[in-house]
Amino acid sequence: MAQKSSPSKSKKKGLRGRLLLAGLLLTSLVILPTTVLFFIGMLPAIIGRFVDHSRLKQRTLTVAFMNFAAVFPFWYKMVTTDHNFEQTVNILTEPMNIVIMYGGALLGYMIDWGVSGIVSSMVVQKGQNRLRKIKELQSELVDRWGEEVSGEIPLDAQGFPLKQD
Amino acid sequence: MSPDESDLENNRTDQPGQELVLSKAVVASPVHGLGAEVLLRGDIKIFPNSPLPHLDLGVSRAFVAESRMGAKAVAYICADHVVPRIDVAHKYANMAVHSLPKLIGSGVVDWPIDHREKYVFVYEQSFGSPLSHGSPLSHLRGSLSLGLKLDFVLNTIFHNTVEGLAMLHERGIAHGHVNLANIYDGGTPTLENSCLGDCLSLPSGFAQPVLYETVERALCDPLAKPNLDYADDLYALGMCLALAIAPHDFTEGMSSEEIIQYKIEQGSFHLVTSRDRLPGAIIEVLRGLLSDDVATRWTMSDLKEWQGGRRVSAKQGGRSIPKSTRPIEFRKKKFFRPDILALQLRKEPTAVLELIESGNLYLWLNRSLQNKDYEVRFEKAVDQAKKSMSGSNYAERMAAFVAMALAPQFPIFYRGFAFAPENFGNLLVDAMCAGKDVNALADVFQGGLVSFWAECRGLTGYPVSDEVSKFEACRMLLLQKSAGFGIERCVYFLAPYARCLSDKLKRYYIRSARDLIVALDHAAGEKSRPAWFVDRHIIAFLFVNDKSVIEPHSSDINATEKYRQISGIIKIFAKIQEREKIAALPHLAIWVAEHVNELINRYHDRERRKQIKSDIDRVKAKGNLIYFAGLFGNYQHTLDDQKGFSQAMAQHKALKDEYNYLHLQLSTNKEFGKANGQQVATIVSAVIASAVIMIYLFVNLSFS
Repeated sequence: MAQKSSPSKSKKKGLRGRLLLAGLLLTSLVILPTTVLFFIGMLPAIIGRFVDHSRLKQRTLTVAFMNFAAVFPFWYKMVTTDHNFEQTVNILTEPMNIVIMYGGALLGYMIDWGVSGIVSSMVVQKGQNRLRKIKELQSELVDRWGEEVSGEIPLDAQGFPLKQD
Repeated sequence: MSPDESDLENNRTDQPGQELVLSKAVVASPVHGLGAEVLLRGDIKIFPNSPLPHLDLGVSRAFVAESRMGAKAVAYICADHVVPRIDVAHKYANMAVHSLPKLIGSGVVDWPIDHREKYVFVYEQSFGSPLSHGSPLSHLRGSLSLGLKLDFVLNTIFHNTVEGLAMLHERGIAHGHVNLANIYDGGTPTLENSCLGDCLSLPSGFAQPVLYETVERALCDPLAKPNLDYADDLYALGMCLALAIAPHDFTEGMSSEEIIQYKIEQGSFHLVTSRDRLPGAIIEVLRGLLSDDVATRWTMSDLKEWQGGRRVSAKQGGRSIPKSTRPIEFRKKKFFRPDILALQLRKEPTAVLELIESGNLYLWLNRSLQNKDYEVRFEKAVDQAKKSMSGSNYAERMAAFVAMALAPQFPIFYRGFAFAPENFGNLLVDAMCAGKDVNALADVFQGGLVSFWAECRGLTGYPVSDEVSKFEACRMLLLQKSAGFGIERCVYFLAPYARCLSDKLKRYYIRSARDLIVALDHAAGEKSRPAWFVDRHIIAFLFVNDKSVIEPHSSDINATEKYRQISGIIKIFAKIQEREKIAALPHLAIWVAEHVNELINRYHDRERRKQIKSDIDRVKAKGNLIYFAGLFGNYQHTLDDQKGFSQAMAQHKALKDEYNYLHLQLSTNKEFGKANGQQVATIVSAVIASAVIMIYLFVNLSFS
C-alpha cells in the first residue's frame, strides 16, 4: 500500500508545485514593476542562491535578508507613489540606488563571514573542552568498574578479563 | 603361695608342665605416679604414662583411667587404621551386668603419646587378669588350654560368659572377641567374677585368634571378616569351654593354616577332642556349639535349655561338601575336596591357568566329583574370568573366580587378599592409613568379582549380605574422577564409621561435619596449616556423612576457578556452623578471609569491593562464617553489580564513540562549527534586516 501511495503523493506534490508556480508567475506579471525591481535589486541574493551549495543555504538567507532590507525602501516609495514600470526604471537607472541595494547584500556577506567565523571558533573550543571532559568521565568509569569496562580487553561471559596463559 | 592362688590351683586337673597363666603383672598397681592426665569429656581422667599391657586387645592399647566419681577404670585407645565399633557403643553403654565391663565413656581425646586425637572407650575397672596369655593378635596361636575342673569352669567362666553374651545378644550386639585372652578373672582367683573384655575398640573379630573363629571367618583378613553373628560368639564360647577344661593344648604344634585345614577336613568338634578325652557331660554342648554349619549350631536358647538341665542333642544335618573318588593333582599335591583345592588355588594363581586350560579341572569335576552344581559354577567362573582376559591380573582373576565356584562358602581370595564384601571397607581404610597402593583393592570393584561371589552363594543357599549391591555403586563411583568420587568415596561408602583419613587433618579424629570444621579451626591456628581447606578425602567424607551440606556446592568445589572453590567452601562451612550452632570459628574465619580476594574480585564495582573488604576485616576475628556466606551469597547484589557494569560499559562505549567523532571532526574538518556560525549569522542578519525595515517604516509613517 505504501509503495502504491507514494507515487500518487509525489504526483500531488508536483501538481501543487506547478499550480503555485503558475500562480506566482501570474502574480508577478500582475505586479510587474515590483517584480522587476526586486529581480534587479536582489540580483546578488539570487546569484548567491546558485553559488551556495550548502544544504540549508544559510549564507543565501543571510545575504537575502540584508539585500531585502536595502531594496525595501525603494519598493515602499514606489508602491506609495506610482506603481508603474516607469517608476521602476527610474529607480533602477539611478546608480546610487543600485549601490545601496547591492551594498545591503555586501553587508549580508560581511555578517556571514564575521559572525560564522567567531561562532565556529567558539564551537571548536567547546569541542576541545568536551574531549577533555570525555576523558575524565572515562577515567572515572575505569576507576570504579575496572579496565574491563573499556571493552578493550577480552572478557569472559560474566564480564571479567580472560586470564592470559 | 597365697590362699587365693592355692584355691585356684586346687581347681586344676593334674597337668605336669602346664603353667597357670593368670597374670601377676597386674598385682602391682600402676596407679602410683600416674603423671599427666588426659580428660575425656572433661571429667574422665586417662593416664598416658600408665599403660596396662596385659589388658591390650590386639592393636588397642589399655591405659589406667579414673571415672568421674574417682573409681579406677581402664581406657582402650583405638588404633588409627581400624574402625572401632562406635555404632554399637550406645547400646552397650546402657548395660549393667557384672560379666561385662561397664562402659563409662567413649569419645575422642587428644592423645599426647602420639600427638594426635584418638578414639577411646573407658570401662570400669573390673577386669582383673586375662585367663590366657596367648597373644590375641597372633593368628598363628591364640590359645592355651587351662585344664581346669569342669564344674569349676561351668559355674564360673562359662556361666558368666554365657550371661554376658546373652545380655549382649538381647541388645543386638555380638561380641566378636570371645577368647580366653579376653576373658578376665574379675580380680579374684576363684573366677566367680570373671568377665568378658572389650569388644568395641576393634572391628568385630579383628583380634580374634584363628582357633576361635569359624572356618569362613578364620580364612579372612582380620579386617574384612563377614558381619559378626551371635552364632560366631557361641562358636568361640564352645572353643573357650574346650580350652578351659582340656588338659592339653589340642592345637599344639599346629600352624593357623593347619588348624583351618583340620577344621575343614575333620571339623571343629573333632579338633577339640583329638587329643584328650573330654568329660561326657559337655560332649553334647561342645558338639552343638562347635558345629561348623551355622544352621545346626546351638543357639543361645539351646544353651540356656542345656544349662537349665534339659537334654539337648546336637542338631543333625547341614551342608556336606562332596568328596571325589579320585584326586586331582595340583602342584604335586593331591586333592579330594573342592574347597581344599580352592584354598590351594589362591596361593598359586599362575598355575591355575595351566590347570584350567589343560581341562584337568573340568574333567575332575565331571568324572570324579560328579556334581553338576560344581560343574555349572566352574563353567560360569571361567566365562566370567575370560571377560577380563586382557587385564594384567588375568591369572589372579581366574584363580579368584574358580575358587569361588569351588568353595562358595569361603571369602573372596584375590591378589593376596581374603575378604568378605561386607567389611571390605575396613581393608580400604587400613590401606589408606598405611599409605599403601590401593589399586589392587580398587580392582575388586571391576569385573563382577563380588556379584559372582554372591551368585555362587545364592545358588548354594549361603546367606548373601545386602552390602554386595554397594560394590556396583562403588564401580560407578570409580568411573567419576572428580573430588567427591573415586576410591576415597568408596572408602567412606563401604566403611561409614571410618574417621576422615585426610592427610591435612592427620592429627584429628573426625567422625562428623562438626568434628571436621572444629578440626579445621584448630589446624588454621597452627603454623603448619595446610594450603587449602579440603582435599579429596574431606570431600568424599562429607559426601557420605553429610550429603546435604556438600551436594549443592559440589560443582563449586570441583570447579577450576578459585573463586568458585572458595565460594563453595564458605557456603559449606557456614551451613555446618549454622546447623551445629558453633558460636565462633576465629582461626578458620581468618584463614578463609585470606582467600576471599578471588571472590571479592568477582564484583565489578570497586566501591563494593572496598566495602566488603572492610566488612570482612572488621568481622573475621569474630569467627562468623555465616556472615561471610551472607556477604557473598546475596543474589540481588550480584545482579545489581552486573547491571551496573553493563550500564557503565554502554556509557563508556558511548563516550568513546563521541570522543572519536569529535576528535576526528576537530582534526580533519576545517569547516567544523561553520554551519553553526552561519545559522547565527542568518539570525543576526534577519534581526538587523527586520530592524532596518521597522525603523524605515516608523520614520516614514511618522513624518507622512
